Amino acid sequence: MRKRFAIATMAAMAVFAAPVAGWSAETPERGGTLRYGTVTEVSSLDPHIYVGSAWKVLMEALYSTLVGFNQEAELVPELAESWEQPDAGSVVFTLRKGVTFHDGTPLTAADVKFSLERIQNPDTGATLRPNLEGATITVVDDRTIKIEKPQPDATLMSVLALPEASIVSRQWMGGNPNVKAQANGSGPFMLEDYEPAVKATLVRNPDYFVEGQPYLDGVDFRMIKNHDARVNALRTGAVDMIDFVPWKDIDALGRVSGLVVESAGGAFMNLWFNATKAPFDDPRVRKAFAFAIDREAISKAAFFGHGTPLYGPPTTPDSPYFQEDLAETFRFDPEKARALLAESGHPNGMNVELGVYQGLAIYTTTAQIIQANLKEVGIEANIKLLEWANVVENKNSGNYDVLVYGVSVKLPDPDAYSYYFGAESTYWAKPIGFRDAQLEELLAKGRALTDEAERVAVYRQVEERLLEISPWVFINWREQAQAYRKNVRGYKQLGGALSESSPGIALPQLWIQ
Amino acid sequence: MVKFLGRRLAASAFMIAIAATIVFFSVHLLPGDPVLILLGEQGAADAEVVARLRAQLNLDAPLYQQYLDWLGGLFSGDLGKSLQTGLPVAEEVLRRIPRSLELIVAGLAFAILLGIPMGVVAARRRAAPAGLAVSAVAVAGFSAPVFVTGILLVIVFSLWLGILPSSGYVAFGADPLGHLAAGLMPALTIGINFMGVVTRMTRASLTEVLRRDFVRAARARGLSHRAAIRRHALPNALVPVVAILGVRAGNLLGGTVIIESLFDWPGLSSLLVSACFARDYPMIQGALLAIFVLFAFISLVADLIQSFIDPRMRTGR
Repeated sequence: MRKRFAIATMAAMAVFAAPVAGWSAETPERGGTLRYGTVTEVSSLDPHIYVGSAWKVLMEALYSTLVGFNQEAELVPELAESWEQPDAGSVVFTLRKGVTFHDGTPLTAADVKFSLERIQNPDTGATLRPNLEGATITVVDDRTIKIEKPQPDATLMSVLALPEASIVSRQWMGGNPNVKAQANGSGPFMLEDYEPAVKATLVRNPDYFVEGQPYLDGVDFRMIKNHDARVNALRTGAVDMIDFVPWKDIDALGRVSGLVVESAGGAFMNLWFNATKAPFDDPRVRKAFAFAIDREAISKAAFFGHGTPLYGPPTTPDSPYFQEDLAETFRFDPEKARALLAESGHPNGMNVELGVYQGLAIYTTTAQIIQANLKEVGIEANIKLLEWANVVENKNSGNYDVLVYGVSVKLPDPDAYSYYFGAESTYWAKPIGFRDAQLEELLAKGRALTDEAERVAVYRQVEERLLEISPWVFINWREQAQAYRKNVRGYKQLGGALSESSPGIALPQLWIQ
Repeated sequence: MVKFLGRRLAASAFMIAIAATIVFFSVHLLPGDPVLILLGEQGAADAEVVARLRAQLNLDAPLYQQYLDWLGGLFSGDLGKSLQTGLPVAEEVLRRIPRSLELIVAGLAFAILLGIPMGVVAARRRAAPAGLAVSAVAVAGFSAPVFVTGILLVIVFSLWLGILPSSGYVAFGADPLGHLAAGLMPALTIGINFMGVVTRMTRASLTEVLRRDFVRAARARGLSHRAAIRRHALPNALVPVVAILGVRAGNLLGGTVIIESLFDWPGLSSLLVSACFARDYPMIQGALLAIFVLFAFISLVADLIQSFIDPRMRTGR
């Protein structure tokens, strides 16, 4: 098993990639079809609305973005061959020559403008709409496009590199196609056949703008939601690669000869508090929870050892934003938890409702351990099992006490904190009306800076403030693993914000031996 | 006969209409919002976006209006469009129905071909080792949960012997043999469970019928025991068996969730489950409507078979 724990650093991802272990310099062979089993039943191919990890991979395969990430997690040119940043709030891109969409029409700056404005249009419901809010997009000429944000925004390039910012054809979209079921991008593969939630068949795009790529003739996506069925399909050779290896199978599959398992921290588990509602509006109460949780036990029982405890903020040791002293803040300490509870006026504990998604054992097991931990310090937690639809509804209406919630890293930049905790962010803060002025100020400062050393100093203050008020309790990193047959070459699992995109980033260079 | 058929058809149509109406209103009462799910956890929190999408999908219209629209479409054969995929519901449902039916029919055939003879053996030799063995197999067949049967089959035929694919669906047109190989284990899983039921029902029913006077009369007329069973006892004994088969087969239309999930078989049950989790109202309604219609059809066929076996059913006497 080739395992790198190059996790998650939402921060440094783009900047410092972990060195690649055992990535050989063999000469790729052309041809062959990769059969890929995915957990997500992709029900829509709309390139601007995220619906799950396999969707990201499909979008990377079918569409292209202005810039992208390579397998070293570095920002690289894609449709744009170069760019300039006249100031911290704007970028001017020069597009490659001769790029065409799958239907043969040329890709121009007008298509880029159309695509980004489609993301901004509330009718679309695009995932990145908040990130591009207020941006002005100007076509300078056929191959030049200018994007201006009202304020300096250090995250803009990373945002434009996400598959959620795919470029669609203006002309094609004008014909009102069902973009949920059809695709016309400029990516390395073209959609040949698609059955929603069941399968997608992709064939090589002979006119892909990267010379000589992709190596594969095609990719067959098979959506296999059942975890055992997906693992068995790999074991029996019915597929070449699977995503979302169940945690119980990570070690077992790694021992099977002929298979490779690669994992990296892709998301982190948390307790979300309704931090504006008593008694959770008192930071001492929230910190009592933070000290009460035995993260080691959760990692072992819920993640079979593949869930590194998170005692501090969700920044990994390989990130330039990592602060060693902060990483030990909430070591397991039931005594301290009881003391904090007493101090906050709850010497006899309290009753809370612990909402948890019922669909995955990692969630329910985590909740059970937390329930037992809390009981130790006098908190009586009633676990409420929820379907995903109800989790989302409760979260958005602010109707909960405490939720067990898994967060995938949203951006390869520490400004992801704005997304989680910014008062205007509808992700968590807005529905419950949470606002912390000091945090807001620090986040705005960090976003406007471009110098990394200065940013490191600011984000240290951000994290100190976060731990001080603890709106969420961070629990552990959740490793995400891909498993594949040894003859699949050229794969590399990235962590953090690029975790889900890793197969998509690798796809043009994957080959079968 | 025609009158009987007409009466049954009218009753079926009435039942379907009532059921479809109940379904329409109850799915809309489910907590959880399809728009939020469509937008994903990131996009779903923007109230303006949510409102606009709701309007686009006509989900902001009053419920009775949506019901009338749906009903109107229904009469022209339009089941609406899936909220998730934007594709016509009818198309998706029609694609899934044959996949579910073929598993059920194959499982049913397996169950009848094995279950009835086994039931006869069990009834005739209740105390003998053969009868006990058959009964034991039958009890194991229907009492083992389908996921246990299914997983055992996968372990034996896919992981050990490597002769059958562990899961997946292959279109018949693309690869007929691959199609059959892929469907064999899920069909068998249904069949083994079914077979147990058929055996037990046949055994119980036949044991009871064998005590009746007309069987004794047949024997007295000089028929062999075997012939008496085949010509007189068995047809009578099969009436309740057919009834139970009809109900069970109907239940399976939306009730093979576990089997479809385990074998990654994209049938009607998995469509319905995914649609429910996504609160894809038109899809839930369409899939359930299809299930109701098929259920009504299957019970009609079961009734016809029963009335063929037992003429009293036709006249209602």
